[in-house]
Order: sequence, then C-alpha cells, then structure tokens
Amino acid sequence: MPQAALREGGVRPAGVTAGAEQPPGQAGIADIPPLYWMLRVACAAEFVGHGAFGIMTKAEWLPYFGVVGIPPEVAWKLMPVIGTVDVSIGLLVGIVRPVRIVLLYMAVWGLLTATIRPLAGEPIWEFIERIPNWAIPLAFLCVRGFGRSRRQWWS
Amino acid sequence: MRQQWVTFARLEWLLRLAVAGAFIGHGAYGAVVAKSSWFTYFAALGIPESVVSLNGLMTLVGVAEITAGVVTLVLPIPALLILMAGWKIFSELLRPIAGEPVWEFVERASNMVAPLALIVVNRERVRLANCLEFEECASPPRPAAPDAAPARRRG
Repeated sequence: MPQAALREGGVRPAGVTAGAEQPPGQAGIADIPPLYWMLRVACAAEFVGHGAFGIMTKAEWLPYFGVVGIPPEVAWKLMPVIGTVDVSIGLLVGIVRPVRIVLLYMAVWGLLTATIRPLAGEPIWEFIERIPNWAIPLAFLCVRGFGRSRRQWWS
Repeated sequence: MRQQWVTFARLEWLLRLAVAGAFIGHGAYGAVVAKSSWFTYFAALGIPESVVSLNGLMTLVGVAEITAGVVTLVLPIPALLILMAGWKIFSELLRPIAGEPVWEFVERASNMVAPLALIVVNRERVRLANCLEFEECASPPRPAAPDAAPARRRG
C-alpha cells in the first residue's frame, strides 16, 4: 500500500497488493498500458522526426541558432549533431527504455525549442502549437513517476 | 487513493493544455495568419486555391480548430476528443501527401496522441472520483505496464 495513502488512512486502491509501494503521487498510473504506450510512442516519434530534419539540415533552423549567437557556418555543422542526439534519444525511449532523466531532458528540450521560435521572430502561435512537444514527455514522466533517488532517475 | 486522484487531475490538466495548444496554435494559422502553405494541403484534396479563398475555407477550418481547443481546455468531451484525434491524424497526413517530408508527420505524433491520452486519463480520473465518493471501485486490477514493476518494492 502506498505510504501516502497509509499516512492519510486511505483505502487500498484496486490492483495494488499489500506491501507494494510506489513513488508518492504516482501509484497505479503506470498500470494503464494504453496510456503508457501512447505516450512512449509519441515521445519517440517526436524526437526521431525532429532529429531527422537536423540530420538532413534545414535552412529554416538558422534563425534559431542566431537567437543564441551561433553563426550560420557553425549552425550548419551543429544541425546533424543535434539531429543525431534527438534521433538517438527517440530510439532509446521508444525501443530500449524510457529512462526518467531522458524524459525530463525531452520535456526541457521540447520547451526550449518551442520557445526559441517566437524569439527568432516567428508568430507566437508556433510556440502555442508546440505545447505538446514538452507536455507529452512531461506527462509520460508523471506516468512513470518522478524519481526519488539518483538511481531511479537513471532507470 | 486521494493522492492518486490528485495526480490524475494534474495529468489531465497537462493534457488539456497540450490538446488546446495544438489546436488553438494550429487553428490560428488558418483563422488569423492565413498561412499560404495551407493552400497546398487543400490542393492535395483536390480543392483549388480559388475555391478555398472564395468560401473562406481556411478561416472556417481555423475557427473550428480554435473552438475545439477552447472547449477541450474548459471541458474535455470524449466524443469530441476522438474526433479531434482523427482530424489531427488526417490533417497531419496531408503534409507528406502535399509533398513535404514524411518526418513532418512523424514529428507531430505528440499532437495526435494528446487527445487520445486525455480520454484515458479523464476516464480514470472520473473513476477514481467515484471511488472516493462512493468508497467502492468496480473495475478489476489491470495488467502492469512493462516497467511498472521497478517502481514498486516488496515490503
């Protein structure tokens, strides 16, 4: 039974056996396979798809690099690197294991890349349309449960 | 169990925000910006630019998307969410059909999955609310997702 529920004098949730313990606040959520797999596939595809454009190199990305002071000649070289990292992370989460710290990275990176668009002069709608890019990895992290130790964050 | 409900409620708001952002942001390109690249998507369906402009189809689609996004933010309706997921998959598929790289479709997986994930979370949150109110849970235990086990510790 979750410690939080014990402290509150709560009832044991259906499907949670006596003695089982989960991170506070996340008890039982990871036990919903459709939700788990939808979020996992979405995170993986988002990063594989986005990374593919980096590997292919995309001229539209140049203003985003400009926002952080990176000149175009360096940006062209950085694009495949960023793309490769994105694709690798997407494959890691989708095929190997959705490591918590990687999901947190995905949420932060998704937020940064969405924020940089209006900063580069694009309409604010570009940022708003991309809310799922950081919200879905964050939701998946909620479903998996935030790590309570360094070891859990890396698992 | 109350803690579990709180977590689901937070997750639901995160997904409401994601769905609303995806639809309001995208809809604004039709209703507010009138993005020229949308003409190619209409053309992929065999609708020429003149017909789109004459009938204000771009504005119509944009306003419909914004409305659906706002409604979901206020009150997520499962039937509408299914429709929104279907629409998102359909409209994103138009990108590769119109000649854009297939990665444009792949990288938007989060936008397509968010409405479906919201249906699952909303249903579970309502079930837990009923459990708390009537102190009984009718649903049987579910099979655990692949990595649900490591979050638990046998006491």
